[in-house]
Amino acid sequence: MSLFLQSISLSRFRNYSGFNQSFNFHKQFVFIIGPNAIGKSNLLEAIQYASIHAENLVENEKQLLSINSPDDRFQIEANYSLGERNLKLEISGGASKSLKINGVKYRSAKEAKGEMLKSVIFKARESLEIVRGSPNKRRDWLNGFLSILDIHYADCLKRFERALDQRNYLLKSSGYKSQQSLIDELNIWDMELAKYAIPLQQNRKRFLETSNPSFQNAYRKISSVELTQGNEEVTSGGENPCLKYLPSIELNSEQDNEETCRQNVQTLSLEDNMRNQWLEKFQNNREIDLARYQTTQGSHRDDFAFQINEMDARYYASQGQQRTCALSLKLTQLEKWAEHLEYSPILLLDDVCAELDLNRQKALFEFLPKKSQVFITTTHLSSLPPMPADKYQIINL
Amino acid sequence: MDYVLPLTELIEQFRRFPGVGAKSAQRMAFQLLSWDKSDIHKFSDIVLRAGKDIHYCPDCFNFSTGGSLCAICTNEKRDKKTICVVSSARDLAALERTLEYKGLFHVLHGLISPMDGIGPDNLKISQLVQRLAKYSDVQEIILALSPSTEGEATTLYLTRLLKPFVSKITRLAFGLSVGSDIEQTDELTLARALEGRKDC
Repeated sequence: MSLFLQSISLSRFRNYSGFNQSFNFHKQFVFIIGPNAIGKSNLLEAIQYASIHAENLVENEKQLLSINSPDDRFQIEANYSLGERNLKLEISGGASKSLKINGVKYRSAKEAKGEMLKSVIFKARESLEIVRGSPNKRRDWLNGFLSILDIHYADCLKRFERALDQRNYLLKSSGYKSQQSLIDELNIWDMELAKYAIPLQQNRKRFLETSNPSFQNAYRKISSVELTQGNEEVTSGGENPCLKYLPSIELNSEQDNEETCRQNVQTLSLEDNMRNQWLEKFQNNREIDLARYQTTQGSHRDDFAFQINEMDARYYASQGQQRTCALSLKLTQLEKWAEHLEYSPILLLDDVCAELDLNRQKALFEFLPKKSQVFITTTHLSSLPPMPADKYQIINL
Repeated sequence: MDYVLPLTELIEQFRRFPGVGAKSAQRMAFQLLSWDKSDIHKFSDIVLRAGKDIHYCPDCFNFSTGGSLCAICTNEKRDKKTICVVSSARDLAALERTLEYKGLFHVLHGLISPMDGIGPDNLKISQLVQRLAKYSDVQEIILALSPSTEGEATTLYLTRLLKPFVSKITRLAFGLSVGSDIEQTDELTLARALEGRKDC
């Protein structure tokens, strides 16, 4: 089952300053083509806004409003189908927000959570930042997505961050406390942090590990054509891409853990063992933490790397490789999400062709997910898309 | 527009209350001025007496009058073997309304929160330890603190600290609120309730 957007109608949204400008979509692949500054990305952004989920929430909603708008709200009406079900979504934003699904009013997107429609967006620039930006970009993406998939994760993250704030405040005020009471209090916050760090780390690790096959598959598919270019097998073609978890605090491997547990059969559970390791690490860092007035290591400093042949793509990969990494990550996200939802969300690809050579473009189009509806913006199509004619439509703006 | 000084001061004092903004404070002040003089006297007497007579109970730190033990601590019928630790007198009142609990209380007056500058020393924790040392027949401590990060940290701190003094330390269960529908319950509460399920 996949989510299918049949039509969308915009009023005063960004550069669509009129009323009810409608677009009908009737194919799985929708190419939106037009020159610069015509509103391709804005159309995509409207679709994203109309899929109300927590990923990439719009930072400045004012910007979404059309500039010459007489009043200060915009409206989007979108018609979806999901299996046999039809969903009509009416959403208005700006000064006064409202949200209706099939005529039923919801006070907030949170209230409508069960009904939420999902899309994964790839924006050329933002998505690339995940690959080559600072660790917090990757962390934010990982936390954002895992929080959507698992409310337990979201809860642990919230509690971890709160406990972290408290611990850092304590470190800052350490000068006013007696040594003993400071140690007593730090012990408590260490234990609180460890309590939430365990599930956070397990989840992140498991997610990245299970994502690897689909990430590798996507990466290889998109870059494969280029590698055999000119009928010449490129020998360096054995690119081996991988998502590698880089935890700030590394625990012993699971085998070691199980070994330790076996030795202490009666006394130690796996969980206790991990907690002890965390506490030990916090203990070891305590002097540095006290000197710097902040918690220097922990789940808030985790990172993950895009590795190509065990080299960090952030530093060693070419632009094209980085872009392929970003794209593969988004395709992996889509697959993971579809697994979780049991239907395929919509995929939005904004300016995906930029900086991809013709071969990679072609490979990408061939590799696009078979189940999801896909929207692609581009300034021009060099050739007809490599898919059956009844599968795609082209909208010229 | 400026009011006469006493009225401005009165408004300022009302604004110090939680949840009272400029408008509400004005309304309260004007209401007060519309009362009979005798009512105003009575009101101010009550405020003064509250400030003068209300003290913490030396044992449990609930509110009490005249420097003596509070009504709960002096009540012969209460079970002296159990102490329920709460963060505020309001939480104590909430537990009392259940009519279920027959033991004693101990009010911490806050939770450990470095952000707000509250450490264990700012709470009535050392007093609790002294109390346990003094009355050695206490058998159970119930930690009835909220499940927030600060509540959890305080629970943890107390558990470790009190272990040597008392054989049984318990905490409140997480779970469904009685009278609510399962379908109306948010996922986290439901997940916690599932985790803490009981044998029938």
